Amino acid sequence: MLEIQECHVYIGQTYVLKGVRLEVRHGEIVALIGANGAGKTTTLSTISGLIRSRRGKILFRPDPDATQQDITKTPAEGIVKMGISHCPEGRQVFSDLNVWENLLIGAYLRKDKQAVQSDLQWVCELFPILRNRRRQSAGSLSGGEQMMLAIGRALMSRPRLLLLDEPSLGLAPFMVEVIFEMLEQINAQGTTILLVEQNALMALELAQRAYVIETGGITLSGTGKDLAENVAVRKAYLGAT
Amino acid sequence: MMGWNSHRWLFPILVVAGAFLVFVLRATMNDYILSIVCFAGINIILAVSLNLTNGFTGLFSLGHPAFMAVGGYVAAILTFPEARKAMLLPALPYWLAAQQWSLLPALILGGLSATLAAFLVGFPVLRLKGHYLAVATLGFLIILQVLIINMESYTRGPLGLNGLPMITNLWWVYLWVVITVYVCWKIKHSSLGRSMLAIREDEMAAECLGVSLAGTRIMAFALGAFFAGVAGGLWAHLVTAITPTSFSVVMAFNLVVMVVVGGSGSITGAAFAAVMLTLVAEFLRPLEENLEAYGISEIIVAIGLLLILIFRPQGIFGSQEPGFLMKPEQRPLNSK
Amino acid sequence: MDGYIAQQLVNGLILGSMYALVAIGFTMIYGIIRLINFAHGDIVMIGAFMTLGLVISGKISFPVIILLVFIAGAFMGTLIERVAFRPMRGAPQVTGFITSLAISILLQNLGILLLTAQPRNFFCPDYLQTIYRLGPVSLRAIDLGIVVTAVVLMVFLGLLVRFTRLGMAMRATAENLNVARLMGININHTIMLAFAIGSGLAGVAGMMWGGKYGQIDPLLGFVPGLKAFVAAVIGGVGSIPGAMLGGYLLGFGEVLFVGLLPPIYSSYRDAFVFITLILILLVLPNGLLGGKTEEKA
Repeated sequence: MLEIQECHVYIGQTYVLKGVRLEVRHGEIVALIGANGAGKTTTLSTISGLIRSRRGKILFRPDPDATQQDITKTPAEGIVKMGISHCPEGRQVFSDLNVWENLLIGAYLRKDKQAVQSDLQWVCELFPILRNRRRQSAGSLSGGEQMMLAIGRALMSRPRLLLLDEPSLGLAPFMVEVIFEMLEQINAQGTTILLVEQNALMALELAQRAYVIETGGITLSGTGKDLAENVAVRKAYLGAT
Repeated sequence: MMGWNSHRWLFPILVVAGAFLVFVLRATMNDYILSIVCFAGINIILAVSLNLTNGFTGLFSLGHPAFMAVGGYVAAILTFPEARKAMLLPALPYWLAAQQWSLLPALILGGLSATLAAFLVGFPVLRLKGHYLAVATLGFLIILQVLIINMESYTRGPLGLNGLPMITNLWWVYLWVVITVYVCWKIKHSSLGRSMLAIREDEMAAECLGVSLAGTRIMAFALGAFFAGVAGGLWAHLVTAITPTSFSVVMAFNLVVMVVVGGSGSITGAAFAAVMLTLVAEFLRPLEENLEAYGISEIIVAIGLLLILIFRPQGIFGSQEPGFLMKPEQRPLNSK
Repeated sequence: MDGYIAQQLVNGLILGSMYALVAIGFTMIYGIIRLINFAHGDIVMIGAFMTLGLVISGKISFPVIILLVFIAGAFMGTLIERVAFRPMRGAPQVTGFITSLAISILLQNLGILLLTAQPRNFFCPDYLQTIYRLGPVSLRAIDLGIVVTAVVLMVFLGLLVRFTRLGMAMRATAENLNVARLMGININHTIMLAFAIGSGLAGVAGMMWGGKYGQIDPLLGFVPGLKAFVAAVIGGVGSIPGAMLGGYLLGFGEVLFVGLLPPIYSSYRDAFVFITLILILLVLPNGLLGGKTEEKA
């Protein structure tokens, strides 16, 4: 579905991604784990068009029978249209808008009003708390609620591929479990997920396949289970001694 | 090329060469050309001193003309002959009315008054940053204008003072240009200057290194103000008149243009741009008058600034001085 | 209520309406690109001159003139955005400020070049000069028109921003530009829209300014522009209700300052406005209604 071929990305003068190679297949959950500063967020931002890579290609095929498109140079506004939705790091809900408006703005580009309404219902079934708080300003929600809102907002564009940047950040362990359960459900209902996480344990449990990124390059890849048992990974990211 | 100790002689040589040039100009040129050279010199003083505040320290101040006004008015009141004072400023307190100073002490006191004003204004206002500081200094400029207009017994209000003794000549201007450039050059290559540049680049890092933010900012502001005050005094005694609108937002803009076009942080750049702007304005003036196309010179200045901001935002000289003027150990390792 | 005070309050209402309109445009632009548009005041000037031109050129009805002036202001605003602000996006804050300062100087001197610096008399049709009396207060028809037009425009704007898709997009872009892009919002369009609406309001304010003061010249935009900035800061930059509140507060404040203090002090009115600005920036940098943390000090 998604293929990153040898992407080299610079932020200003800093060489951040040094030939990243990554693949996401339809229906999967893929995890990208690594330390702070390794380039996880940059990878997602490059896919979603906020950053442009200097060299390399990103190819996207929304459905198994669709044509593959080169989205390397597509700007962020266009990426959403193609069916990739990026839920950014730190939740970043629009606190000026209320919960309902946040969800609606996720569907900004959609013209099918009926379907948007039914999707609203779907999101509220996933995260019932959002319906309760729908007229509240998004800034007044708790961290976990904001995370649910951010994910819901990203889902409102009916993406084929959902990019999630550190959903567990700053959340209590119980809330993280809840969110990850929801992610499993969302995936089961047909959305492919590329998940970037510092919390390697939960990410590797959830994902079918995973990559490890270190200082701008992919160093390991494999199934979630394999990586979780990999000695080097256990030492670096899972706290084994 | 330039060897071991040659840089130590460079400055005295330049000063003497400049003095020689002044001598030649005064002997050969007519008064009109001389006054233009004087204006250029005054602009150099203004631009180089504004560079201390805006360029080195990164404090965007539009208040320089206000300090010119303070220095100019103080100097003017001091040099005014007693008889004229009685005529134009009858309400002046006796101890002031009795003063009649010569140019140099008047200029210095003007500069010091401006410095005092800078301290007073700086303490509250320098807490602000970026464009808020700019607008606050602009507000100060306007407040000062209102004060000058209203303190009629000292300033003759909106009418201003005219008939000032025309005692500015190229020697005085040259002296102060040399002083200003010397002082600013020394500061730039001293620890104070390094503190200023550090603040400009990254305030938090500078603070961690022990740089006193408030102290350095006030120093930069006050030093710049001193020279602006002196320049104001020189200007007033060249034009022989001073009014509340002499030092306006347009002048603030022109000074900012000099600093930005020359290169924020470059003394040579500021001086160069000051001379250029003076020449452009002079060159276009007859055009404006003959074609009745007033405003063209400012339009060209504004467009010039916009072009520089788009195509060379660091200014012509950036933060550097020309290599041959610097000590060998000060030159950047990979000079362009 | 004492008739004199009542009259001052009405005068404050009129002045405040004009300040509010200009302040709203100013705060919309600041809210969305975080830059002070120094040239905003000069759009007021353009609006004033355009009105004069339209009124002189023929019998166009006033609602149409308002519309045309709005469009002219909007056009100028988008032009300025395209030519000056868009190339500077991403540059340091101060660079943006210098750029808008340069544009302001450019516009003022273009005005001097093309229209001469001589003040011109604003033509105000007789029917707008009729005086109404409400109790101890008297005001001209045009003053009433100013307040009514301002309120109508502000209501329209409020509805647009709160209840339409475009308004939602503008609010989102103002809050977080990158995430707005992730929603598929074309931020170039949103920014242009903010400039257009804000500048259109400034143009209409120019029309009011001419009507109120009777004389216009190319430098007239400088003072209202700065005062609108002060009003926006008082209310909290970036907040549209804040700009409205700040505009009226400033209008009342200025009129009462002149009206209640002995006449010696009335020429200090401009100093009063800027001292207020400096105080607010130091003491209450987010203004009265602004909640977001802004880097002030």
